Amino acid sequence: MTRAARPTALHEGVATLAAQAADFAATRPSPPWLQKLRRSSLAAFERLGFPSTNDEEWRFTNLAPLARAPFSLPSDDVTLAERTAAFELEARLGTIGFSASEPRLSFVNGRLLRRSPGNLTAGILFERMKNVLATSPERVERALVAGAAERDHSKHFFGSLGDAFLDEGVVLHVPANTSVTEPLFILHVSTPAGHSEAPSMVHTRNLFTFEENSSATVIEAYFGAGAPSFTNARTEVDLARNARLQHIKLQLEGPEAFHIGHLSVAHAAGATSASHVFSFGGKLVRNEVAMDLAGEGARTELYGLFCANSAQHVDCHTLIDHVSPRADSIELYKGVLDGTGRGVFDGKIVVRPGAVRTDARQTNRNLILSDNALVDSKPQLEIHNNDVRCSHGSTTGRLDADAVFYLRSRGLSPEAARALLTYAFGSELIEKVASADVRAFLESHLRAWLPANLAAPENR
Amino acid sequence: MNQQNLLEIRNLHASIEEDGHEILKGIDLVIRPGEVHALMGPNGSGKSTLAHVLSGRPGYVVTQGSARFQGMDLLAMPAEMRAREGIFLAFQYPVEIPGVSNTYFLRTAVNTVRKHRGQPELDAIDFLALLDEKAKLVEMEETLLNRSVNEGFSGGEKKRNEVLQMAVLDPKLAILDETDSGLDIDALRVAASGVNALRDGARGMLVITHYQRLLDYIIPDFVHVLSDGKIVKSGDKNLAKELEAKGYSWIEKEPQATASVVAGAAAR
Repeated sequence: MTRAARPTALHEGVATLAAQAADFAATRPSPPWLQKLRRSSLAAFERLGFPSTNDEEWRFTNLAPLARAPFSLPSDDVTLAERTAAFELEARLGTIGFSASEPRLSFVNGRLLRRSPGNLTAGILFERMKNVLATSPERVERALVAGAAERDHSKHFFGSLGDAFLDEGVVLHVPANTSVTEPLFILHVSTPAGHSEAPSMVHTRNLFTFEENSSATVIEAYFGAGAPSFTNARTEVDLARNARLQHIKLQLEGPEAFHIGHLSVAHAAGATSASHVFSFGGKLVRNEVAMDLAGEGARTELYGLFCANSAQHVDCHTLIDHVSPRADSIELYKGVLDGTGRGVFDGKIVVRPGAVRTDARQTNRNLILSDNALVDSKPQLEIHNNDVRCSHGSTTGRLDADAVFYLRSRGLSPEAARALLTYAFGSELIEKVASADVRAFLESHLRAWLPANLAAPENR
Repeated sequence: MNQQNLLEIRNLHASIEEDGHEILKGIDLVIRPGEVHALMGPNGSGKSTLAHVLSGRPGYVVTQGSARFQGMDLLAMPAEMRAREGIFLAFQYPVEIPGVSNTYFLRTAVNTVRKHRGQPELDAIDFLALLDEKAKLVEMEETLLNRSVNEGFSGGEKKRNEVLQMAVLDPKLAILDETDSGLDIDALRVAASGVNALRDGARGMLVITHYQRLLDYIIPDFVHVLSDGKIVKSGDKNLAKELEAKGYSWIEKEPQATASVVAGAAAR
């Protein structure tokens, strides 16, 4: 495709979104800084346009199907149909490990469904963005404005798009020396609204700040009943000295979903983070994780399991920026592709001149289950000093025929053998999760995901 | 067809699928219940190929002859059916399976086999009791049971794990493919004593080995010598000792003069 032949679908999609954003802003009385932020973000995404596959960052992911699909912003009121469907999905969570005793904010098509306060430690702010914007906007103004300004430079279309619709999401603030023991749960449910012609579009914005030596685990879960939807989710995290974040993202919106997710974490000295992404497919899914190791001795671990079958597309993009000395990063992403599924792993590690004694290890392994599945793997190391230990490796292959035979020679059917091996391949990422509840949920979900022609292995 | 025979191989010819190269050139072998047969022979004589063909490993084509297991046409059955009916192959090179715990793997296998035999599946508690009992036979530490199948196991641990699987799966016919290869004398003794504990007068065994050493521990009822894809000599346990003393070239000289030239070249 040449630059001149830029698809018109991408242009038309932008125009529709711009009109929707303008309408939206007009209905939201807001402080002037927020109005300005929405306006400038609208202008930014209009100017940028949907990235085309000429853009190196989007080389393997064609956004035309997203740009072409019509989506509508849901009205402010949650309909009965939405509420019923969302509670049903939420209840299903309860039967597979989640206790609902954790602090939880649940959203349906982007609007609050309900909140469960759980046993939240005093002094912790875990609140929906809409309330914070209404009652104490000064708490988030600086971070939101700074984030938008930074994005303008980095040409982030979906970040600007989200800010043009900035309204809802979650604000988390963990005070110094505070450890939140229960995981904080942010649940998004996508479901047909019942009256609207076009499927729902959700832009959600999370802002987390961790003060010195604090720690928390956050679970962001995106569920759907399989209907078409578009979710554009952005989470920005600021970790002060020695703060610790565990972030778990569960993307399970079903085969018709469009999902663009972004997590970025800024690390002060000694701060540590772990990001776990579990992405089970959709029509077009992009999971971005950007780790800024700005502080000396910071550490991050990035884990990801992405699965795609039939005509699904899952794209995982990671960036680890080693800015300061003695920071460590470990990364392991695995893809499982079946049917005509397509996967992308693009992992970049940048080691800046000052980032001496960097230790960075990146691994990407992909398992191809069918002749028509495909994965593009693009690991990138950009190293600007010599005093580093960096490694990266990428392998893509099929199930080991010797292992399949070994299992068959013990009585397992070929299907059971392949299912067991596929499960084992993916379960390595599940084992990395600290929470037993989440592990149990993921184990059962991975079993359920296994291709229909493979009998799921029985419960451990 | 004699129903008393556990395994009955008649004039079996098999080639490598990829290049058509014939490895087995007419094997005849009968194993009755309770018998332990040793199959010896130089490298390249077809010992492991026979084990693979009997267990149903892909990559071989049977061009002639038959193999019957308890009267059934073994060659018509997929590998997993052979296992469920009671054939067990102890691998020369057991496969590492990261991410699958040994215990989980064994329980899945045992219950698959039990289901096929119309026996009730074992629950976790009953299975662990069985596993515990059998693990003692091969002196298998509990840590190895909880680790991924064969992953990071030493050579001896892998072979003991094979014997453990055999003990747990309780096959009617066990084929041990060079279980002694790569083992020091202590590991060999442990593996062999595990195998001996499974000799019960009903189970048949085909013990494949290059060296007589293993047969000091697993005393066979019959010894066969395989050369260039055929059994060229059969006898009792003393044949193994004779082979050890005289070398394989002795046996290859006997049936036909030309064979020794070929075998001599193969042995360098």
